[in-house]
Amino acid sequence: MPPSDVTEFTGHCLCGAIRFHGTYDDNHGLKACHCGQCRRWSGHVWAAILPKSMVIEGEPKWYRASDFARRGFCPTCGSSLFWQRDGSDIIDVAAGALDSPTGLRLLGHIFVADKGDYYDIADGLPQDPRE
Amino acid sequence: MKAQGRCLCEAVAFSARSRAYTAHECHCTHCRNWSGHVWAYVCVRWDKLTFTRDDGLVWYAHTLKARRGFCGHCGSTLFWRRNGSAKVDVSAGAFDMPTGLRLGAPSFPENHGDYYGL
Repeated sequence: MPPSDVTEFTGHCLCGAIRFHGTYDDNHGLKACHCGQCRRWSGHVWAAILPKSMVIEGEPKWYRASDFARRGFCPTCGSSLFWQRDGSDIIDVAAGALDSPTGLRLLGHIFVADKGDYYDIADGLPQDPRE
Repeated sequence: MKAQGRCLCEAVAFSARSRAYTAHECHCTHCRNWSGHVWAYVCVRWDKLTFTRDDGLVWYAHTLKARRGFCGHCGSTLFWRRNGSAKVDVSAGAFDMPTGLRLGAPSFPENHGDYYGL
């Protein structure tokens, strides 16, 4: 059994070639990212959790989109799954790839200064121009 | 709309000319799983897309009815196309700004993720 202050999660890519499971803190703050890279990579808006622990089964393909981080996706189906900062043990995981019920709640939006010009953010949640 | 689109690494790049100016968020389980949160697309005619690069383009047939196109180099989610259709749904996020697009009614709002509202 995990400690009482964490929640277990499971998830997978669209084709199932990559599966993962782990834990995140119960008070975890899930935010949607509107930066230009996440928008182009996901096709619209990306959102991710920062797990406390995670095991990945299968082989994601990694792409270095910047000089400080890499993005992981499924080479078979293209699901946009992971983001990892260089030198960090933590791998951010796409919220959309998690199995329901997630037990999560979206708490806000980040990098809204870079958001797309074709939509407004109107859900009333906090918006941060940057991170 | 008349806009340039590309994936993150630019191994797929294209221009689109279309009367379409409305993009739609898709909240279906497959699009959420594939994009990582919520996908948004604009539907254009396939023959109105002009590729300047497509060497990164990979198609994945998730169902018998349609396939999804992404960049096999960087993983950007790009296209959804019903088999045999003259049209293709293109990721709204792939377009350079100004996109000329506006968001319209969502697709499959009843299937939205349990961690956000509409």
